[in-house]
Amino acid sequence: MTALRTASAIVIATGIVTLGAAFFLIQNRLARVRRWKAVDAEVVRAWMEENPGEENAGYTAHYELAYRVDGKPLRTTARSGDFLVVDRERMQARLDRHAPGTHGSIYVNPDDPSQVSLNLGRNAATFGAPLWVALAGAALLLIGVSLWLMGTPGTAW
Amino acid sequence: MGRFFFYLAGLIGAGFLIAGALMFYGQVARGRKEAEAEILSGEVERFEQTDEGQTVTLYRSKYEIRFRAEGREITVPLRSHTGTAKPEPAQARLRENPPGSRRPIYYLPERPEDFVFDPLGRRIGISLLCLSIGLTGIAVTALLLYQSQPAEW
Repeated sequence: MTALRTASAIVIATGIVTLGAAFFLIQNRLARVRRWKAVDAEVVRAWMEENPGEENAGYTAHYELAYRVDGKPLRTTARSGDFLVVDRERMQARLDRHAPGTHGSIYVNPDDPSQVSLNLGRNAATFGAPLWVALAGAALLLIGVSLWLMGTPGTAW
Repeated sequence: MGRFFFYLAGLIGAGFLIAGALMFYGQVARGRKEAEAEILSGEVERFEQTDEGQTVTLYRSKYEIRFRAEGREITVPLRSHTGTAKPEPAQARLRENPPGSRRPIYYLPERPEDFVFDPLGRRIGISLLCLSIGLTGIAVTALLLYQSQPAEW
């Protein structure tokens, strides 16, 4: 086997494993979307945190929430899980929409009601990360197959 | 600034996609036919190449080949695309392709003089690589735009 074919076999294998991981993540998120229940929650406290790291790394919204499941009062803290909110004003506007005392829908794990998710649904916040993994897997697979084919022996003139 | 990179990835992707599609059309979809070319003669050719004011002497293999295509017998001269500073690599290639030996070529039926040496698999691989990079670039843009939708919380 040529060096190109060996390298492409490694790329193809990595692509297949990555696609498998993406499939598992997507299945997991879909199961969560189907099973977790929407409940009404009251915002007790809302604040913004600047993500550590590089300049303009972004902002995350944090909430303290009060909600009821089967009549039992519960309280938790949760944070927005989306990505690329680098605009402070944009995040502040979101926090203003969810000021203390306001209500909104959150999603609760029926097996453990203390586990909540804020933006669960068929949206970018839920499926964004698994789709990036799927894209990486598909790209590796396609590039690996291309390299494998490019390694087809020919005549050196 | 962020959006600029979204669209830049898409533009680069579209460029690779178009290049890959054109390459696929030219090299694969036009349906090249295979023929056996007979090597009539071969020699090492010495030539000079000037690059940035410097002239270097290089060596490459040179052949005369003959093949039958669409009822015609075609004889053409053939030179290796790349030269080397020493004649040994070209001599080694000539030993692998001695006069009288036969090698496959792939020609366009409507224009048999337009032929290539790469087998179908390799030609598909090159165009698929461009298509893959193009699709990845466009998918990156689509995903970035998808993820830029504001979340509720």
